[in-house]
Amino acid sequence: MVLLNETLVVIVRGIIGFFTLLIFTRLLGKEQVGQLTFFDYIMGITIGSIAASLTVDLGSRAWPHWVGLLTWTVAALSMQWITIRWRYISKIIEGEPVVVIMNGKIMEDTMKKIRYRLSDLLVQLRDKGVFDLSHVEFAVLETDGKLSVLKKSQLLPVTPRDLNISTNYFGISSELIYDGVVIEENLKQVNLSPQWLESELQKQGISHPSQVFLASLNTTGELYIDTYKDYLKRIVDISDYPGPN
Amino acid sequence: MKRFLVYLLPVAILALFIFVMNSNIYLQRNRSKDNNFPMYIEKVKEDIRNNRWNEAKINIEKLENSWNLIMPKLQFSVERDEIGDLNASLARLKGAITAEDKGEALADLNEAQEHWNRLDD
Repeated sequence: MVLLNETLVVIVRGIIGFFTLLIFTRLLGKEQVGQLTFFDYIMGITIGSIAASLTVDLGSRAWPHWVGLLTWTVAALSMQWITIRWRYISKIIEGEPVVVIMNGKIMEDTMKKIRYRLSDLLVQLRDKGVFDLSHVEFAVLETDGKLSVLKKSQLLPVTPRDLNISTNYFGISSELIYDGVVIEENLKQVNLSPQWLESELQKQGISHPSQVFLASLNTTGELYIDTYKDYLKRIVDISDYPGPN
Repeated sequence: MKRFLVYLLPVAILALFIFVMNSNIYLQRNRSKDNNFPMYIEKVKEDIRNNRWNEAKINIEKLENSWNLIMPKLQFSVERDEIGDLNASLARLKGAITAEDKGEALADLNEAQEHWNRLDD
């Protein structure tokens, strides 16, 4: 009798599970782990668990697990589509933010209704750097379980607008060189030529873009360049043990 | 071209995975003379029914060889337990043929056939 190659089967099924999960999660979009609702979180665990069974549960065929993965992904995509299209259904499915502190007063009845403890509120306020309840004007418990806090207006930081100071526009920087490679698309987007970039590099004593780890241009026209060689005389080491960081 | 690849590549990968996971359908139907498992099952059945034990001993070897040819490819798309059960049925069948036990041999043969048919369940 030819022996079954268990290891090989697990490797093949692992590759199937890994890349299927990768493709399906890309389809599901850019929702960040921090923004997940409780249901999203449970869904993630379920999909992961199905992928794990697909890989190592050799007592069943891979196909039913894969169909399970596909079903959950399609269901999640449908939910996303429905909640984008119908706001009312989105509120039913995802819930809505709840005000737990209004004009400095704790909303005990609301908190009881959503089974949210006072200790939870205090923990989340401390997490936001609020140690004195009298500093809070509003606190809203978001659908992903995070607390948004609005401090009393006297305690908010002063902004240039409060002081009537004019400021320049400041937008998103463009990466022109990434890991030694010139990003031509970004250069085109900011209407600059490779020759301009070359001359800017030469001004800083850099002969070739391959010496540059990162070069980015901000909206004020300032070019930030970091080369692979940092020429630091003294490197600060914050580690206090000899093992890996 | 890049855009085409970005969409085509995941589709091609998923299609390949679907094929690998269901390859038993193709493998069980695509039979050459060497790996024609159902044909040898029928041959052995006929030999046992007609008490042709010497032919049965030759054909059980061929049946086992055809199974050994197809099994390494099948293992990616079928239940491991089902493969194990089929292996056990074949081992019992071989024993029953050696002992020339007609009842036991037919029972084991039918069991092996049932496992073969259930591979894609």
